[in-house]
Amino acid sequence: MIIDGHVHMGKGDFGTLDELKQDMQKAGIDKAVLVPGGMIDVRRMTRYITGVEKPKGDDIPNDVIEHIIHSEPDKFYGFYCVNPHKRREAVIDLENGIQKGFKGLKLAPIVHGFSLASKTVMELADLCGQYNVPFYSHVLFSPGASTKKMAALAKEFPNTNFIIGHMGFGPADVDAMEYAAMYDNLYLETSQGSFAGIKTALETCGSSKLIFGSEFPLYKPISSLMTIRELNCKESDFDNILYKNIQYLLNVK
Amino acid sequence: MKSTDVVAIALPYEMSSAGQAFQRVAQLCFGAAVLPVGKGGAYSEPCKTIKMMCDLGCNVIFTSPSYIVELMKVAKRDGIDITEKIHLDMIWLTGEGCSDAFRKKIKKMWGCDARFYYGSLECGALGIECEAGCGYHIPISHVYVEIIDPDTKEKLEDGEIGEIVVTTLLKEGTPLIRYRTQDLGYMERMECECGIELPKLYLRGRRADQIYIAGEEYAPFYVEEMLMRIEEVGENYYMNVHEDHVEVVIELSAETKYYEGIEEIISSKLEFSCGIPNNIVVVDEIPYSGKKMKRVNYVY
Ligand SMILES: [Zn+2]
Repeated sequence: MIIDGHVHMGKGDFGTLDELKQDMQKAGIDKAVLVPGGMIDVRRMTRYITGVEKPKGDDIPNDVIEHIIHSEPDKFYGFYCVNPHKRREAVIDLENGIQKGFKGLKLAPIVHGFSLASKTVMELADLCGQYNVPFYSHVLFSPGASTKKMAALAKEFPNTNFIIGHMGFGPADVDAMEYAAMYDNLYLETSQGSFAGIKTALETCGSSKLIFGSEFPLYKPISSLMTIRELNCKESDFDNILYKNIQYLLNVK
Repeated sequence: MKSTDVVAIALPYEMSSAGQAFQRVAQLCFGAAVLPVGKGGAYSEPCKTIKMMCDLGCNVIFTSPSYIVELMKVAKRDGIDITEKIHLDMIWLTGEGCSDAFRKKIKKMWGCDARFYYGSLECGALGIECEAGCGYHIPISHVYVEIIDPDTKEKLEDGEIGEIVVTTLLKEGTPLIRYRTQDLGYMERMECECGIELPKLYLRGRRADQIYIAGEEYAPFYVEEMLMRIEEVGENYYMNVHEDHVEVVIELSAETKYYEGIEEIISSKLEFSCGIPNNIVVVDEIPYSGKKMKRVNYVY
């Protein structure tokens, strides 16, 4: 069994559901966690990171994901994305999303430009703990959405599970690894992670803290998976990384 | 500048060389007409300055960032449309630190170009911006500028941020050798867009103004840049530094209407971009102090 823990799905013609299914089959991936995408055109990603181009943050395609997870509930899980600048509305929105079958929260600091220490983010983190669904966010170089702030959240909300996307910030975020080792409720998702970074993380925080993800459509699932295969770790470690950890966080079998 | 310019000098004429120095340059070097409107002297009121600028066809002004905002506000209060009644070609900003984002707001509200002039009472002119609006050209026949590590006092390489140190080359009465300005900046040797190939100076705020919260250091210069990039934030602000956070008192921008919770949104945007734990307080108006604007206050 292999579950891809991080796949983007949006409304555009780049990275469609058909393409995803073909790529999953090719890589031997059984299931995938979908998060809303398309707010950023990933084919021009660096322009967004440098702030030259602004994302279309108002149109979050949660509906696209909702449709897929309802039509193929055994194959796809969904994370619900909200804009914390909407404050109370964002919290209510997430709660509705969870009730509609979404299995986690996805935040996009690069799209919405908020601080991980803001009041609304704290409320969202708390809500995730109440519903026992994971809180997923990537971290940035921006100090308000840094690895450190994400770790501070994990410390503040011990009943919520947190997933740091893309192994943290940069090619080998040792802080993210050390925090994952320090806090039981903090996990790292491997997409975009370098081989050396993931290998170091395996030694630092162990396989029970790593979740395989591909970051489709920016990356091909087969190449992301190959990086994991090259770790040459024990079968039980592979199982943790490739499906057991995410199954545990999503409460699914 | 040219001889047909009408130049308002809205800088102090008392206890400072600024007003007189700029007046001399405008009159003697360019033959321009000067309006010595001053800034805060006995007869110098913002409404009079606005009236003179309107009536006498002023097209260039030398002033500080906080005063140009005050002039705009006074004009607005008196029902004068500044872009309609005053046709400025250029605003020269000096005397206070100013981020590029703040400058952009000033350019927008006056509808003209705005450039920085960096100087100090002690040393005179230290840097002048060209039309590229990015970094200062150093008047190298007047001053020799170096960047040093403020702790080790060693001279730094190009691109490294440190304290700006100045040696004056022409002053006879008060010569200065390696005078420590307490200003932070760095130098770069790359040909400017305007064609000048000499080294350029970039400012990074003042050493003494750095904000320390819970063991972290934040540069007010950078905090201002990020604050001014937030569309909801207006042209005036100050910060009160507390032990574990900074309270940022702001006015809203002209396009923004107050609504409940806007403080949290602005606070989150600011913390996102510069990491500073903060609390936003929105007020209708921050009154002009009449003095040099003090934007960072320690309250503990
Ligand atoms: Zn130039």
